[in-house]
Amino acid sequence: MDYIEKMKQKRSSLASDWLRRTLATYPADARAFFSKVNDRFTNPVGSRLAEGIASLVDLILSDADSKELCEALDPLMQLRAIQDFTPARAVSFIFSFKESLEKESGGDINSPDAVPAIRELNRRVDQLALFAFDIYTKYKQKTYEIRVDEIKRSMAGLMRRTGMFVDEEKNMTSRPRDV
Amino acid sequence: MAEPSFDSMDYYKKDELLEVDHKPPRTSWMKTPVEFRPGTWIYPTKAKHLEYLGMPNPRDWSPTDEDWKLPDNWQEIIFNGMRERLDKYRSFKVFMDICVRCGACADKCHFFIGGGDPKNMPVLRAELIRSVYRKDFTTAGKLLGRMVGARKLTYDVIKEWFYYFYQCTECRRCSVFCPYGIDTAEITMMGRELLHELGLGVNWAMEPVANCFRTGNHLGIRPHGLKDTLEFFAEDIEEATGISIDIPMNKKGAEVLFITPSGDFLADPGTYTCMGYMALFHEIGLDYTWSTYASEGGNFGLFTSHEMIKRLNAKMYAEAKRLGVKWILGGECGHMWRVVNQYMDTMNGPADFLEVPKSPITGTVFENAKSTKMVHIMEFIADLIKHGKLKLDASRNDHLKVTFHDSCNPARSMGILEEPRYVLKHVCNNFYEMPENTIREQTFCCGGGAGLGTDENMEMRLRGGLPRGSAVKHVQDKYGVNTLATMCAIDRATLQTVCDYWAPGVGVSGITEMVANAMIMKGEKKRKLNFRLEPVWGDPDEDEEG
Repeated sequence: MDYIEKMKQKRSSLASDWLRRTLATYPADARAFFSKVNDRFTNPVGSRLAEGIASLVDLILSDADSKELCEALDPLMQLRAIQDFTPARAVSFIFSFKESLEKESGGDINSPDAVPAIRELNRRVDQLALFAFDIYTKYKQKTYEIRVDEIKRSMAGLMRRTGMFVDEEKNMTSRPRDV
Repeated sequence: MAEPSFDSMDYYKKDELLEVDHKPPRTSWMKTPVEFRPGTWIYPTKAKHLEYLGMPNPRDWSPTDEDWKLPDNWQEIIFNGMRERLDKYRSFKVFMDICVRCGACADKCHFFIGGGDPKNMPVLRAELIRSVYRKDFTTAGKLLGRMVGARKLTYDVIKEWFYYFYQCTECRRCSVFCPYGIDTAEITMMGRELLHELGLGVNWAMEPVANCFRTGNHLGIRPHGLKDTLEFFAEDIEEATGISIDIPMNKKGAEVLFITPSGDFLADPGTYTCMGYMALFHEIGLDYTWSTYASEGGNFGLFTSHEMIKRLNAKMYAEAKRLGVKWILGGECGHMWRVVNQYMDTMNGPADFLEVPKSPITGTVFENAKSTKMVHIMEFIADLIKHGKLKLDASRNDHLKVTFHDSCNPARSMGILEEPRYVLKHVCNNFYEMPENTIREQTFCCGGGAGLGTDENMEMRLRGGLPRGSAVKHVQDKYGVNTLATMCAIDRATLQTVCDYWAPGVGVSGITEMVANAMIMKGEKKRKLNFRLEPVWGDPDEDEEG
C-alpha cells in the first residue's frame, strides 16, 4: 500500500489532530467550547471547523480539484475573516496540516514512496493556503460592501425621495433575491 | 500599552511572526489589556451631544488614544457611582454577590459563540465589574485580593469596560439559562451608567438620544419632515393600490395614538412596514393619530441610563394626555417593548388618564395592557384576524418562503411569541421555523441591539450574528427560505446585513408589510405592485384586462 493510501486509512486521526491544532489558534476557554461539537446551531464555529477540516483532509488526500477544495474551505474562511485574527493568523491553520501529517505518518515517513508523496501533499497544502487567502480576501471585501449597503438602506427613504439612487435595482439590497 | 496593529509596519518587526504556529496570549483575563482593533469597537460620543444632554465630561476623544481625558478623580467617581447604585438597585447588589460561576451562561452569548473571546462569556463580562466590587466593597476582597477574584480599578479596567460593555446587546439570552436568574443586561446597563459618569459612551447611541430629546425622535426628524415622509409613503401606497389615504397628524381627540420607531421612516425595509401600518389603519377605519412630538417608539435611553430611559419615555404619556386619546398602539419595535413593559409604568405612570385599551373594531379589551395602556401592533392585528376583520389573500405572498426571527426584547422581555406566528400563518402560505434552540425564548440576537447597530464595528457584529445567520442558512438550504420576517426596527436594519454575509439571498421584511401586501383593500385596483413597488403580481405596463 502506498503512503497516501496509508494516510487515507488514518484520515480520522489526521483530521482530529489538524482540528486540535486549528483550535489552538483560539483562546483556551473558546477552545474548550468549540471542541464540544454537540449542536451546529448553538456551536456553529465548532461544527464548521470540524466538518470543514474533515472534508479538507479527504480532499487533499484524494487530489481533488480546486473547485472542490475551495467549496470546503469557504465556510472556514468566511468564519476566520471576521474573527479576531490578523490575515496571517487567519490562514495559518492551513500549514499545520503538514505537522499533523508528519505526526500521523510515524514510521511510514521513511518508506520509499513517502518522499515524493509528501512533496506532493505539501504542494497541495501550499495551494490550499493560496486559495484560503483568496477566500479570506473575498469575505473581507464582503464586509466592506455590506457595510456600505447598510448605510444606503439606513437612509433609503431620503435617497428615494430626492432621486439619489442612480440604480435602484443595484442599491436596494433589501428585497428577496429571487423575486 | 497596546501592541502595534497589523496594519502598521511596527507590527512586522516582532520576532514571533517568524513562527507559523500563532497562539493567543497565555496571560490571565485580568492581566490581558484590551486591544482596540478596527471593526470591533464603536466611535465615542461627540462632545456636542453630551453637552446638549447635560451629561458629564463632554470632549472629543478616541478609544485608540492613550489618554481618554478622564476627570482627575475618575476612580472616586466610579466608586461613588457604584455605591449609589448598589444602594438604589437591589438587583445590582444581588447580581454582584450571587453568582456561583456554574458556567450555565458561558456558552450562551452570541458574541462568545461566534468569536470565542472569553470576556464575552456572560459570567466573565459580569466579573469585569464584580472583581472591582469585591476589591472595594467586600471584606474578603479587601483582605485576599486576587485569591477571591478581586482586582484594583485601573485605567486599563475602564478601557476594558468600555470595550466589553459595548459588546453586549443586552439581549438577555444568558439570563434564560442562569439558575439564579442573573440578568447580564442589567449588569451591562450598570456598567454603561458608570462609564457615562466619566463621559464614556458611544455616538451611535448618544446622538439619537440627543436627537430624541430635541425633536422627539432618534433621527432628528422635525415635524414638517415627518409629515413629508408620511405623505411620500401615501403616494407610494396609492401607486400600489390606487387608494388615497389620510394621514392624521397631531389630531386631538383621536381614539388611538400610534407610535413606532423612527427607523421605519427612513430605513429600508422598515419604510415598507410603515406603509403597511398606514394602509391597515385606513382599511379598518381606525380613528388614530401620528404625533410629531412622540415620534419615536424606540428609546436609546435604555442603552444609556435609567434616568435617560425615563426622560425619553415621558413624551409618550405626555403626548397621549395632550391629544386626549384613549390608549396607545405601538408599532414593530424591539427594545421599545422592554421599556414599555418593564419600566414605563413605574417610571412615568400610572397613566390613569387613559382607558384600558379596547379595540374599536372588534371590541376586544386588552386586559394585559390594563396598566401600561399600550398595545403591541401584533396583538392588535392578531385580534383583527381572529375576528375576521381583514380580508386576506395569503397567496399574494406566495413568492415568499418565510421564516420568523423572534426579536430578543419582545420574546424574552414581553413573551410575545404566538401572535406574530399567528399573523404570519394567515398572510403567507410558506412558513418555516428555524431550529427550536434558536427561536422563541432561546432566540439568537441580531448582534446589533443595545446601541451596537452601527457600521464601524461590523466585524464584531458579524461574529455576534453568526448563530442567527447559521439558523437562517439552514432553513434557506432546507426549505428555500428567502424572507426573514421580524418585528423590530433594529433587526430590520441589521439582520439584512447578517443575512447578506451568512445567508446571502435572504431578504428581511417586517410583518405588517406582509399583512398589508396580503390585505385586499376596499376599492383597490388590480394589484400588480407590492408595497416595495415591485411588480410581483404582474406587469404594471400591461392593460388591466391583459
